[in-house]
Amino acid sequence: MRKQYLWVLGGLVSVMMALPTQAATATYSLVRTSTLTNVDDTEGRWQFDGGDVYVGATKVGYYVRKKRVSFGVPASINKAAMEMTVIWGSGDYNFTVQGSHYFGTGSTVGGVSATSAGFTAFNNATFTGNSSSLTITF
Amino acid sequence: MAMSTSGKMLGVAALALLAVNLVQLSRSNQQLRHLTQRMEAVEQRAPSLTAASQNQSPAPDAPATPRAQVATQAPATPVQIAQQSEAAPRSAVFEEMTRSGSVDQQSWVTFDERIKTMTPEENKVFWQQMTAAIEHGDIAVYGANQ
Repeated sequence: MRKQYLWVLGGLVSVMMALPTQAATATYSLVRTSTLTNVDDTEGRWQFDGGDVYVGATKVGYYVRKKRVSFGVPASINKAAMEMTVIWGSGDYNFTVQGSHYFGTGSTVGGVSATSAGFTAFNNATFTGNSSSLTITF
Repeated sequence: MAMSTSGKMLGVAALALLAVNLVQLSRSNQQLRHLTQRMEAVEQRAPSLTAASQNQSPAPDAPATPRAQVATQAPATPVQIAQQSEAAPRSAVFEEMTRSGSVDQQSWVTFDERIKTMTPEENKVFWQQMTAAIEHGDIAVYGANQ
């Protein structure tokens, strides 16, 4: 009888530990301060830009973004590979997101690919956004 | 002889019972017919009654009370959810770091080691609180504006 109780208790604990924690989001506004620059080559095109990162009305850091358009992807797809690093304004905190950018709507989706030690919460996080906004779900 | 007398008596009693039952059955049939007629009458009047009830303003009688109670109880749920979210885990590092109401370069240096050695779950709580506080203007942040 006692063993049965232990099994039930163990099962309950396992279920509770397996429950995922509630997802949080962090939204950053991106304000370009450099000139959006295209660099063409024989394989495709690079597109670069950078600027300030805001949380609400407060500037918290900077972003560096690059997109790669490849002639290997049909023009009808109209998507580029995108990588952007957000550099926190203080300390050596940063995180990098990678995904795809759809030129048709300007939307960007993907995941967080790298974080500094202070942003471990963003490991395995995903993001959505556009040219002026980035929302991390972590 | 005695048997036949009792047999007759039993027969009479049975007939009497049968007669009584027949009378009751007849009355039941009449009542049933009467009830059926009333139901048909009500059914025929139903559309007009429904229309009339839709045109009338809610009567200040009993049915209005439960509706009013439901209406007043409904907003309670979001309030309860808000109270639960307020009880979410809090980051001790965040509390210490923002005690003065502002965060500057020195704050990040001071708390750097603790932030970088947090577990991912602690780090999540820290950034949840930090982002929310910055977004709502609860703390001033210095250092990124140069």
